[in-house]
Amino acid sequence: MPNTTATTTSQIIVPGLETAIANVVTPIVATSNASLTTLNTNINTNITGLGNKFASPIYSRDNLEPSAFPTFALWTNQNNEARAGFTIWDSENQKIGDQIMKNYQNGYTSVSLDNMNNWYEDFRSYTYTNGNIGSSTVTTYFGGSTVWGSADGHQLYHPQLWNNYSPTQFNRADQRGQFLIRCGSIIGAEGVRQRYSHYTTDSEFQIRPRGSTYGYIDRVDMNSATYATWAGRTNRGMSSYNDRTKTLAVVESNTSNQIRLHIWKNTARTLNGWAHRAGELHNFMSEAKTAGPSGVNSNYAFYDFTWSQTGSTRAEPSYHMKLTMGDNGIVGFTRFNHDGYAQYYGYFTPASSGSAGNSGTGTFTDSGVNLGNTTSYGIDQSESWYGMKHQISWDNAWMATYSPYYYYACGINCHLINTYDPTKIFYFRNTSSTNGCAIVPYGKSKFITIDSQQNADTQGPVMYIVDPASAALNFRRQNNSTLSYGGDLQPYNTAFTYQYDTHSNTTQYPHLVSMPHWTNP
Amino acid sequence: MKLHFQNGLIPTIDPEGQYEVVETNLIHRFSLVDGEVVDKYPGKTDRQIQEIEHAAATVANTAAIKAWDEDEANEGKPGRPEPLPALREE
Repeated sequence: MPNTTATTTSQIIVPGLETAIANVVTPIVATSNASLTTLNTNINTNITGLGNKFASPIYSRDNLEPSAFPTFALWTNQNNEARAGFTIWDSENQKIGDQIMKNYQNGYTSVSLDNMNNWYEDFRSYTYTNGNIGSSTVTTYFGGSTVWGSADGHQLYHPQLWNNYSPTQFNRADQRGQFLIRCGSIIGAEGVRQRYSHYTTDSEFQIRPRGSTYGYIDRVDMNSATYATWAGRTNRGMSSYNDRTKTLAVVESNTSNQIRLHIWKNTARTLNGWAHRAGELHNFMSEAKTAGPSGVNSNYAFYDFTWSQTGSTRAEPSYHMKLTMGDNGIVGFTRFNHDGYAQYYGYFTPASSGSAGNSGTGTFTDSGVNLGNTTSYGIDQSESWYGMKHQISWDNAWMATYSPYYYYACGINCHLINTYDPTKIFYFRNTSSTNGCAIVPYGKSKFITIDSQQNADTQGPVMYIVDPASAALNFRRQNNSTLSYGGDLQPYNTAFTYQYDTHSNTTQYPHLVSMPHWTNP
Repeated sequence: MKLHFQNGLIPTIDPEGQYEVVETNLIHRFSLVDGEVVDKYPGKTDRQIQEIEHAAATVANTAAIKAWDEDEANEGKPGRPEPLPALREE
């Protein structure tokens, strides 16, 4: 007989509750041991299936955790006057941040920014936006260089969303460039921004927190039989790691354009995980090397071939090609053959992985999509200031590799490469001889670029969306004209203006930079 | 060769472009003014254009270096402009 009488003042009696519980529990108790065992197994199986949906207890964060869509900043500095600062924008073209170096209102004195502290002062003239870069070597206005921004950060700017009235939003430009030109590409799962920078110089491979100018958290010297069959050639950032397939490509070359492509695969490990530990790079490479060319889940092979054009026997085109390690095993190569030649693109298709200690075989295909340049320069002139760079879209499906058309910093020649299948490409170019044309990730699979002439009193910065993914899906540009693979995206057909207000109120040439953190408020 | 001007501003080599121009690799010489193509270097070859531009760039660069060196505030600071390389031989 259920108890329906309260025996203390703290009891609450719900008539019928005990009967309801008994009706549920009794059949369970009466269930056979075999049924319970089956139930237990089923529960465990289903929970195990859910395991990869949650962060592993080994890691503090899920390695597949996507970031917010990209954000970017526009900088103006009206010739060292008070009207200097960033405006910050999200991928919906909405402003999310606004930082001005000094407040300026009519009637107040325009305060000079001379002798502001820290790194700003040493590189102040680079931040000016009231003139053109033109053919200059690194000097005034250079923050707008086409090739000062990359997936690993910007050479000069380091804007933060949560900041105000501070000059501490800059990188040490004279130290930064040697790092940026040595960073290879990292291709992750959809929405996963690279956690690290992969820095290579000759046989030295380092893993650094993303954007770290000096210092590393893991390293190996690849010139060791433990890791590779290294030929002893030169390498300036020629690496590409695909975290979707756990495959790493590194290239060494010489000025005879004798190229050795090394490819490691190790599905048990990642080189882009939140909790990267020292020694993981050793494990990744050494396990693959030990497994050899025929390993299944881990393997290592190298491929010797040549790819040359007139003019390609200099440092930039020989030592500083940009790689794209495709999901399909094909490796894309972008080459900036500077000073009156072109930016070229080709890809290597492995056929046989060879035997231990011997080169595999494959085919190198020159795409023929050659983007001509004029007098222009790369790392031959300085590893600190110049050279080709790359960006990657939010979904990691498209790699943008780009170099200047004119001298050190003006115009752009850009290949857009599909990271699943690097045989699929588009391109665009701007033959400006006056201004930089920086490009940054935007939205899911787009980029946004600037043709930096503007008048802040009228239309503001002029921006253009670069959309390779739509072109690959529908073979149409934004203006509904048609194109095919290998075609010109022609982003400058459609201009975005009267949207991006800046801090200047006269003719300016704003600088575009991807935000170090894609965080929306 | 034919050009298309994207957004009326940016010249692009385009077989279906509406503006017929002389053969060149240096299409920054062209601009569109009131619907007409203007050649900044009429009658010049690509090499001649490179020589003209390089001479102008060298003058500007030399002046920038001189200005840097004369500004005492720059003493000890990084960022001195570097001399331009010589124009590449053809």
